[in-house]
Amino acid sequence: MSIEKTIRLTLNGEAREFDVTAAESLLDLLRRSGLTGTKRGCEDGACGSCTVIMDGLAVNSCITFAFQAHDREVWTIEGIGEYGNPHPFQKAMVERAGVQCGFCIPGIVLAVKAMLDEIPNPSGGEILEHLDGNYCRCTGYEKIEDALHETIAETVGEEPLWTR
Amino acid sequence: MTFEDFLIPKTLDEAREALETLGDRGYALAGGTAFQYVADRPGATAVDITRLGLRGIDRTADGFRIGATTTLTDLVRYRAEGWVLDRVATRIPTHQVRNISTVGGNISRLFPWSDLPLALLVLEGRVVVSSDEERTYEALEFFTAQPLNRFGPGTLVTAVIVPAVAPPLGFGFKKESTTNAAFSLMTAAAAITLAGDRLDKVRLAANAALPVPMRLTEAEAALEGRPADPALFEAAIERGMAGLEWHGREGMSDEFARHLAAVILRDVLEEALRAAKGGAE
Ligand SMILES: Cc1cc2nc3c(=O)[nH]c(=O)nc-3n(C[C@H](O)[C@H](O)[C@H](O)COP(=O)(O)OP(=O)(O)OC[C@H]3O[C@@H](n4cnc5c(N)ncnc54)[C@H](O)[C@@H]3O)c2cc1C
Ligand code: FES
Ligand code: FES
Repeated sequence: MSIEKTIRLTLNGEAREFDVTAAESLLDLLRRSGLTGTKRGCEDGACGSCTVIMDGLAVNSCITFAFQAHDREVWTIEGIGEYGNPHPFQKAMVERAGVQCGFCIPGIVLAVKAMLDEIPNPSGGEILEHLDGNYCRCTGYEKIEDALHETIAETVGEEPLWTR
Repeated sequence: MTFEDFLIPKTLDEAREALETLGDRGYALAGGTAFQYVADRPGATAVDITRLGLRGIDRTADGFRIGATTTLTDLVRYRAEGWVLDRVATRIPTHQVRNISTVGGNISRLFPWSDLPLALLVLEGRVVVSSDEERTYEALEFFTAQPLNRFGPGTLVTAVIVPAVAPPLGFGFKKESTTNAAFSLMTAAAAITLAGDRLDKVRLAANAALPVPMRLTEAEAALEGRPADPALFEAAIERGMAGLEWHGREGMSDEFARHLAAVILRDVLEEALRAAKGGAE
């Protein structure tokens, strides 16, 4: 029998409290709270579709227990951009047709956001290091790379260090 | 692992006390990424150890002291002369896992794919363990058995110590996997210390195709004191590999695992030798 305890966290910029069991994953907590943009894929930490940002870093919510988020700041796809005011990478993904079935996309957007918040103009090596945890089964990555290149060029206002 | 309760202590003493009281039911939880591979136990309670001030890397007189809850990403980002663990940590998948999983977690419960133990074994690192008193273990001793099974409840790894690596000491590390994010098929690490044009000290270790990280002491002995000549590596590796059972993973045959192991062991020795001579690592 799992005991319920209350945790506090800042979720998409809002202070929140949740009753959680020790067994509950952060992914389960988010989805039962209505934040279903965080996707359930492999559930073993390999595919990245459940990626959220915790204290500035991309993590897999499927293998993170909900209680690990206590006193931390968590961002999900619902907190990134809005209709009419998307994150620059979301906008570029639409313009460059980077989305096919869309299942992997929330995770990729969060991994990219965490990277660009930390390194606005990353090198090719830094991009590989930051995005090696996100699988896309549809696109072949090329259009996603186009969108990323365009986002970096637009947000830093100069030629990206990463040459394709 | 399905935990039934969790605790979030604020100090090392509080965490150790909780784990001691819980006995077999208590589990230190750092990144938590390994618990999907741990069998359930009634009453299992997680003790979150990430808020005890055990995170960070300090430069010491001859190396580095790394707090147990330092993340693998911290290892990747850290820059200092003589620092080589970034090269090992980058090869542990994936970015999301590296962001949350810790040095202590990677070495306290060994898996066939555990990478940091190999680096600690060849660099002759040390592991600081805190129970009623603080004790420092040589890596070789720490990794002789599954670390979790030999320490009683309330015992925590608090830090890891590694030397700075500079000629005449050189380090080599290589890992083979089907994709960047897959578990390793074969991982090896080597450290060579030169004395003039001779191999003074050789440390060679492998994992993944072996059930636990292991030093290949026969190969080391076959090389020490000999000329620093890569032509000697093949025969020494053959000697070191004999008597060990090499297992193929992910559909690979045992015979191929053995072949792959021999190739990668030679690669890491050559890399360590180049580095020991001051060449590019
Ligand atoms: C998809 C995937 C692929 C992976 N591939 C690799 C790989 O190729 N190579 C590799 O090396 N790793 C790999 N890992 C990571 C590795 O398997 C472990 O998950 C990780 O290193 C554990 O670190 P953690 O901080 O999450 O530990 P936790 O999961 O929190 O703990 C692991 C174990 O150690 C104990 N523990 C933790 N910290 C301490 C401490 N300070 N003192 C005493 N006991 C402690 C815990 O009780 C637990 O039993 C992979 C992980 C995933 C999810
Ligand atoms: S669902 Fe979490 S990594 Fe795949
Ligand atoms: S768009 Fe379908 S998995 Fe990426």
